[in-house]
Amino acid sequence: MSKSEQVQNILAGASVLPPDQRAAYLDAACGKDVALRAEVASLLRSLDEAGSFLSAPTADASEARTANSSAATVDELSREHAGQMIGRYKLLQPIGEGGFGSVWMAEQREPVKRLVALKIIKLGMDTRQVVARFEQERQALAMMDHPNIARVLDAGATEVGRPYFVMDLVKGDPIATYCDKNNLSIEDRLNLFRQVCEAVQHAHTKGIIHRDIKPSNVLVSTQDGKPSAKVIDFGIAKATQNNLTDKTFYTEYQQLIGTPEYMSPEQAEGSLDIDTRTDVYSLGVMLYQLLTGSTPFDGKELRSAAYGEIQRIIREVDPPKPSTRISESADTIASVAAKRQTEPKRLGAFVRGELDWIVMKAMEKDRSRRYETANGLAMDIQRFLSGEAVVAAPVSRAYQLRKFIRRNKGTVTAAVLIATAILVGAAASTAGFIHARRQRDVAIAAETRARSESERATTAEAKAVAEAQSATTISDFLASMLGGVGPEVALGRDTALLRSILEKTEDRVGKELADQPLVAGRMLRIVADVYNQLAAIDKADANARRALELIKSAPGDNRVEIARATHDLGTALESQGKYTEAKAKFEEAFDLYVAAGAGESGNAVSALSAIGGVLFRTRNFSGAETSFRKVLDARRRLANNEDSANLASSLDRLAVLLSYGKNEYAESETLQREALAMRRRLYGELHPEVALGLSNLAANLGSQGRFDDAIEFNKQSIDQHRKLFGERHPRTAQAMASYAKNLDRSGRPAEAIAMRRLVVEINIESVGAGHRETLDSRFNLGWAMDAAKDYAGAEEQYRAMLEWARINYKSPDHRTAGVIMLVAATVNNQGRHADAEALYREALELFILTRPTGHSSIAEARNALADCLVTQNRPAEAEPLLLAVERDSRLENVPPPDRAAAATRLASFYTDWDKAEPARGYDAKATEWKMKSETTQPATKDQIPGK
Amino acid sequence: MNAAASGDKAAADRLLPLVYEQLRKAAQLGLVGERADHTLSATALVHEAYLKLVGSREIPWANRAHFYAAAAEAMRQILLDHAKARARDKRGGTQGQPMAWANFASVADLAATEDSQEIVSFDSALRRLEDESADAARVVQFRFYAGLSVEQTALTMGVSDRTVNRLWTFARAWLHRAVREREQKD
Repeated sequence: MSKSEQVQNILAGASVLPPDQRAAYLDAACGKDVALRAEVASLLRSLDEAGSFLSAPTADASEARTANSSAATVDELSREHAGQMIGRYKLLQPIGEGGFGSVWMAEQREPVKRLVALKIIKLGMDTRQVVARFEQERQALAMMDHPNIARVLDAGATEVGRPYFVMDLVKGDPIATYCDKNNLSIEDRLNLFRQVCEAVQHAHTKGIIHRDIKPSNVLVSTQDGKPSAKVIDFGIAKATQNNLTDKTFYTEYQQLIGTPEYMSPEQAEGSLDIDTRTDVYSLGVMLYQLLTGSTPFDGKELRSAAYGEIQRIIREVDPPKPSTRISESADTIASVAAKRQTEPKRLGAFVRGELDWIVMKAMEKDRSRRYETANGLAMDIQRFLSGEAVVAAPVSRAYQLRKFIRRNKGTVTAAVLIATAILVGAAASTAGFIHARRQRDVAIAAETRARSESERATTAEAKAVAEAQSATTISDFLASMLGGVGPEVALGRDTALLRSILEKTEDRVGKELADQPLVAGRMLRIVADVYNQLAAIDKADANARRALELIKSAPGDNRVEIARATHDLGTALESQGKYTEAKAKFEEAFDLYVAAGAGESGNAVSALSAIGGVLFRTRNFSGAETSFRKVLDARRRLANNEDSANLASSLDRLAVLLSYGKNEYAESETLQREALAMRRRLYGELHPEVALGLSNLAANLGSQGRFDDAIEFNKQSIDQHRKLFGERHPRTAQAMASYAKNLDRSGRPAEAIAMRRLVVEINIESVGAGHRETLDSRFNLGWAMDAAKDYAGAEEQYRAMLEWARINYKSPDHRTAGVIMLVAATVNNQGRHADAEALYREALELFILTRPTGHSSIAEARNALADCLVTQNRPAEAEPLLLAVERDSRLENVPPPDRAAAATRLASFYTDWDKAEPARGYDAKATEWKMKSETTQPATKDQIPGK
Repeated sequence: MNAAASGDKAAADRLLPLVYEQLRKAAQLGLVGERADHTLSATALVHEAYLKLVGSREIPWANRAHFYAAAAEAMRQILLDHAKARARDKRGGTQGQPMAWANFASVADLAATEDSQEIVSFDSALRRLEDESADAARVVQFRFYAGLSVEQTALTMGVSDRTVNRLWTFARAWLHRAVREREQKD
C-alpha cells in the first residue's frame, strides 16, 4: 500500500467520525508515524473547512457525505414520520410518493391554523441550490392568484438538509383518473382541459413556467356538481433543477424521476432555454391522453429504452395521431370509448380531423410551430366546441421534409453530422445510410456474400449489413437529406464546410476502407452524388471514377453494382458536357444490366433514359424519342397505376423532347401536366422536381403562345428554385432562362435581357465560364441584346464566346467561324466597318477551310463581307464575292431558292452601284441578273462555267 | 491494452476534436452567461455531446471511459481557455478580490467565478494531485469535469463505490488545501 493510499484510508475513516472521536482514531491508525498523522490531520482540517468546495460535482451532493456507508443510507436514517415537526409544520399523514420525494398532509400552526400539503424532496438534490432557486421564484409565485392554481406557500429545508415545499392542500384525483372514474364525455373533458390551460396561461403571464405538467399535477374535484381542476407544483420543477439528461433517464441506478412521456423535445435535449411553449407541449400530451386513454409515447417502452434512446424518441419520432391511436388500440378501445360515453367508431370519428390537428399542433417538435400560448390552445378548443374553424392546420408532406431538416439542422450543424457519421465507425455508418438510401444494395450484398471468395470481406460486409439494419439517426437524416433535396438546402448553403468534409471523407475512405472495396466504392458514389448536387463537377467525376474502380476490384459478382457505378460516371461526364463519353457509359451500364439478368429492372430503364437524354442533348431527336417512349412504357408498367417519381420523370423528358425537338406542343403539354400533378402528390409543393416541372410547362405554354399562363408558371418555378437551391445555383439560372424566353416572346425584351444577364452571371459563378451552359446563356443574352439593338452589349457577350471558342476548338473550326460572324455583325452594326471587315474575312477563310463548297455559311460570310465593303464604298471588291456566291449556288447540293436569292442580290447590288457610278453599264447587269433570278434553274455540273 | 480498448481509444482520439468543439459551443452558451438561472451541468454537456456524436447504441461502460476521459480533458481545456480569455479582458491587476474563494461546488460554479485566477490555480493544483495520486486525480476528472456520479465513476474506472468515495474525499481535502496554500502565497 502506498503512502498515499494509507493517508486516503485513514482520512476516509476519520472523516465520518464525530470530531471528539477523531484523535483517538488517528492515534490508533497512525501509531508512531508522526509524519503520517500530521498529514492526515492537515487534510482533515482542510476537509472540515472545505465547505462548498467541490461539494456538488453533479447534483448528487449527498453522495460525498455517504462516503463509507453501504448499509444504512442517510436516506433511510432520516425518513420522516407522522407527528414530526418540519419547520413550523407538523406532519400528519403521508399522501403520496412521487419521483421527487414524498408528499404529506401537514398542519400549519402559525400564524394561522390550517392544513397544507408538504412536499419533501428526496435527498440527492443540493438543498442550498434548490431553496435558493425557489426563493428567486417566490415573489412571482406569490403573485399568482387563480382559482385553478394551487399556491405554493413556503419552502425550506429539513434538519437533514432535505428541501421541502408547502402548498395549498388540494383534494382531488389526477385529471385522467377523474375523467375516467366519472365517465366524462369528450366535450366535458375538453371543457375541463380548458380550465387547465387557463391556469397555465395565468402562470405564464406572471413569468412562471411549470415545466412538469402531467396528470398527477392536475388534481380535479367536484365543486357544486361540476369538475374543478387545480394545477399543483408550480415553481417546483425549476427550483429542483431538472437535471433531466442524467437524472431522468438513468434508470439503472436510480428510480426514474420525472416523466418522460410528458417531456417536450427541448427538455429532453437538456436545453437551457425553456419557455412557455414547453408547457404547451405537455398540455398537448395531456390532451392526447384525455382523448385516447394513453400517452403518445408508451411509458413502459420509454422507460425501458436504451440510454439516450428516450431523448431520440421524444425528439424525432412522430407519435400516431390521436384518431389513429384510437383505432389502433383494438383491445382497449371499447373501455376507452365507454369511459367517454361513446362508442368506439364514433370516438374515432369525433377525434379525427380537427382534434387531431389541435393536439398535434400543441405537440409539434419545433416549438415555433406550436401554439404560442396556453391560451391559444384553449381558444382553438373553444372554436372546435362551438363549431368554428380551428387554427391548427394539417401537416403537409413538403412541410414535413422542411421540418425534419430544420429540426436536425438546428441542433448540430449537418456538416458535423456528416463528419461524425463518417468518422465514427465508418463501415457501420456507411452501411447505415446506404441502407436507408439504396435498400437494394443490401439485397445485392447478400447475393454477393453468397458467392464471395474472400472470407474476410464477407465477414466485414456481413457485419456492416447487420449494422445497417439498425440505421442510426445520423444515417436516417443523411439519407433523407441526400435523397431528395440537395445538401445546400439542408445545410443552409454551408457548402465550404461540407466540401472540406467531403474531401476528408475521400481521404479516409481510401485509408480506412482499403480492404472493403465494395463499401468504399458505395461510399464514394454517394460522395460523388453530393458533389454533383453541389455542382462541383470535377470532384464528382473524380469520385465517380474512383468508385467504379473500387467496385470493379471487389471480389465476387458485382455486375449490377458496377453497372450502377458506371451509370454514375456517365452522369458525371454528362454534367461536364462530354456527351459522347457519357453515352458510351450509359450504354455500357445498360449492357451490364442485361448481362446480369436485370434488363427489365428499374436500373436498366434509368440507363435507357440516360441514353435518351444524351441523344437529346446532341440533337438526335428521333433517337431520343425512341428511347424515351420505350422508357415511358416500361415505367408505366413498373409503376402499375401508382404515383412514381421515375414515371413522372420520363413523362417530363418525353414532353420536353416533343416540344423542343419536334414542336409537338399539345401532346407535350398533356404529358407535362400529368407529371407535375404526380410530383405534387409525391413530394408536396416545394421540391426540386416540382420546380423543374413548372419551368418545363412554362416553356411549353410559351411555345404555344399562351404567355400569361406560361409566365405565371415561370414565376412559381423561380420562386421555388430560389427557396430550394438559392439565388446563385445553376438550376435557378435555368428557371430564369426559361422565364426570359417567355418574356421575350411576349414582347417584354428589356425584362428578358435583365433576366438573361443574371443567368449569365450565375452560370459563370457556379459552373464556370467554360461550361456549355454558360456559353448558351451568353448566346441567348447576346441575341436578345442584338434584337434590342444593344450592339455593344451583344458584342461583349459574343466576344466572350469567341474567346472560349478559340481556346476550346482546335483551329480551323467552323464553330469558331460562326461565333466570329456574330461578333462581326454587332461590330458592323456599331459602324466599325473596318473591324467588321477583318472579322468577316477571317470567318470566311475558316468556313472555306472547314465547310464543303456551296455550304450556306460560306455564302453567308461572303454576302456579309460584300455588304460591309459596299458600305465602305468599295463595291469593286464586293463584286467578285457576290459572283462567287452565285456561282456556288448552282451546285447540286445547294437549294434552288438560294440560287435565286444570289441572283436577286446581284441585281440589287448592281442597281445600287449604278446609282453611285452611273453610265458604267451596271444598270444593264442589274437587269440581266433580275431576269436570271426569275428563271433560275439548278445547274448541273456540266453547266458550271469555268472558275 | 487489448485490441478493443485500443480501438476505442482510437475512436476517442478521433472524436476529441469534435467533442471539444461540441463542448466548447455548448459551454459558450452556459459559461459566459450571466443569467440568474443558468443551469449548466457538466453532465448534461458531456452526455449531450456524447449522444449527438456517437448515437444511442448501447456501449458498455468500460469503453465509455475513454470518451469521458477525453471529454473531461476537453472540459478542462475549455475552462483554462476561458480563464485566459477573461484574464486578457481584464485590464490591470486583480487586486481587491472578493473574499469568497475556493467556493465552487461544481464545474459550473468554477466556470462562473469572478476571479479567473481561481481556475488556473485549481488546474495547477490538480496537476500536482496527479503526481501525488493518479487515481484520485482521475476521480476528480470524472466526477468534477465530466460530471459522473459515484456509481458511474466506479464503473468507468472499474473499482468499487467505496474506493471512489475514498479517493474523492482525499482529493477534495488535498485540493482544498493546495488551493488555500496557493491563495495565501499570493
